[in-house]
Amino acid sequence: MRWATTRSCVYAMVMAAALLFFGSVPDARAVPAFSRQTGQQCIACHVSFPELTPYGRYFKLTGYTIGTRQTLPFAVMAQASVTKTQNNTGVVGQDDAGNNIVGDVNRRDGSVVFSGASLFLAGKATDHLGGFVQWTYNNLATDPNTGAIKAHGGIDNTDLRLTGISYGADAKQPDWVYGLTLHNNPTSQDVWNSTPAFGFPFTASPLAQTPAARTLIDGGLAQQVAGVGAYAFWHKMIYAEFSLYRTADGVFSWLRAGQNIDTPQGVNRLSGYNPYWRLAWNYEWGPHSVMAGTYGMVVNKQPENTMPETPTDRFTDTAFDAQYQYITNPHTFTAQTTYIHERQDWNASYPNTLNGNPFGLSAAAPTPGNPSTSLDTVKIKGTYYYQRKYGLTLAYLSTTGSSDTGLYSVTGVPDSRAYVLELDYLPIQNVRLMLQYTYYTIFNGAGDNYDGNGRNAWDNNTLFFNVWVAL
Amino acid sequence: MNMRIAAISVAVAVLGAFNAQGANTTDGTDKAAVKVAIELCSVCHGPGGDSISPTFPKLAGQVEKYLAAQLRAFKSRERADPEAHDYMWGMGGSIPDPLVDGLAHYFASQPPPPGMRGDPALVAPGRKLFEEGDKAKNVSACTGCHGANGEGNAVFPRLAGQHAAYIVRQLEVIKQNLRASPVMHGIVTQLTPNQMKEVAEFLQSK
Repeated sequence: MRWATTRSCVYAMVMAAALLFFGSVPDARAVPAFSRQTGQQCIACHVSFPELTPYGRYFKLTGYTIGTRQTLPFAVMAQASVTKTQNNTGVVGQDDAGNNIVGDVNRRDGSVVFSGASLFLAGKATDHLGGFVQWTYNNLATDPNTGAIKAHGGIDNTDLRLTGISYGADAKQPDWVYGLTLHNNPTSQDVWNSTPAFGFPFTASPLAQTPAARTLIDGGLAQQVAGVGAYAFWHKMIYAEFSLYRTADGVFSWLRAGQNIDTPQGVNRLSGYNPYWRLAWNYEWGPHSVMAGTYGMVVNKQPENTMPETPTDRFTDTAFDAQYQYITNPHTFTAQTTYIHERQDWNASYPNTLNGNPFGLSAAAPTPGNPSTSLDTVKIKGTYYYQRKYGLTLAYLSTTGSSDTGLYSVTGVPDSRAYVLELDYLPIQNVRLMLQYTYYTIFNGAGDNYDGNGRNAWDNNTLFFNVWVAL
Repeated sequence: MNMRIAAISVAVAVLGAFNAQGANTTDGTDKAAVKVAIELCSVCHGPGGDSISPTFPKLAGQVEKYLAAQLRAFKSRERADPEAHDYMWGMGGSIPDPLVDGLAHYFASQPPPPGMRGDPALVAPGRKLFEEGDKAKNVSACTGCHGANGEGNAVFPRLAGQHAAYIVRQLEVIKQNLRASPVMHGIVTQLTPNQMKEVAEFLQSK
């Protein structure tokens, strides 16, 4: 493996020192706007960002309204990183004569890069209304036409809530916490970190090769939809939620501001209102808490986002998840797992594939060879922290699915399997240094020669060093 | 922001949120304090102050003057152990003085939670230390200040039924002078880690 050059290492140290310097501003906190509002430190709500403690879950469910409203409820977050790919040489395209072009798979491999920064407007507006809006400048965004890196800004996760609490005359704790939420990423409104939006990996390399197949609920609709949901949490034990999602256009267009909506396959376009459900059982005892639940959604999606009047494909995601947390001083252990099954009914794309007239203006439009297919994703992750400073995480990530040579032209199957080892160090609560290694045994359907040009799954093994700072 | 304006803003916000301020329940507890205790304090300290997590102390049945003094110490930031800094400076800072007394009264009025079964091998020496002290180390009996049954006294906290892990943690931070307690510091420096665990286990079982 070729490592970063000496010059890059020096630059990395300078960058880290600079970030640490700016991160050591007194009284700065890891979720700064909320932290300034409550006066509490990051660890009150987070085991480690973004993983929520029981109190953090309550803070979110009550609409981020605990504390005192701030005059300037802003926060910023920035990340810098180095990504090193095990084998960075591969086929990256074809010339006009149809010959393979061999080059760097990751054009910035081994270099220190400024990944991007976010600005948050976050906090309480009234005792029952609060939320956050995140705007992210992605310094490593990719131009969909050229594949070149082209910096870009746009809205990120956003969640606005109207909430309430109710209890009886003799109560000693709330009977019900309930509310309405408007957000733009399915499961970002959830308070357990076993669901995809704030699930593991919490931070991954923005430059690394990643498997192509993933379920729609697992990030496929992030910052592309508007979701309105109602939820209730009873006695900290039973949580239920029902939400509806639609394409974030018209009055909701700000929820996908900055997205590439004009390019074929630039975003996903939904038809009508699409239901999402969530049911969870939560129990807390001593330093322990456990949750077991289910969530899912049914989505009718246009095969091509630039052609809104076509028939739709249907995606039915059914998921089960669980979380365990043990939080003491100095030991903290947390574990999450989820299983997602996605049934894909190609009600629109399959007939058109048969007719030789696939939807869309680009070759990226789906061309399934079967009327229905499926994907199954399993994620298992465990984390240990000592003094909330030194963290070790192990994770297993797997996606399998039915074979379809139309969707997966080289290997015929979508399977991928990865193991992740992550080390974290938080010198102060709002600075995290992370070293993460991802090891693939299967990638896009095969271990050996998954791209038909001799590239193997383990060629994509990734070493990722990241510095995360929030102020 | 001008500090006076900031202080007034905080007070107005809190008073606005708890607009029942000044009204009392039939047992004399401030209604606003009850509301805060239920909607906020109970999240960590449990229903009525009967916390389930050893990170957070049980407040039910705690000595009223001690509770009020601690809340004021959080507000003024005189109490500066890591957990006070991380969790309670913010909470305490937003609570106006009348509410401090109301909260102290509310939690002091709650029935003390029953003790939890402890490890007999730890409870027995812990009881001996609590009731008799350790004469060889010139450590006096804890009962002198904390009451014959650890029920607390005057401004000295109730320890009976408290989480053992919380008690050990407080002894550690007092020993390290992270939490200022001149009287206890002199005593705690004489205790071994095992003695801390033993007396904490005994008190949790009370």
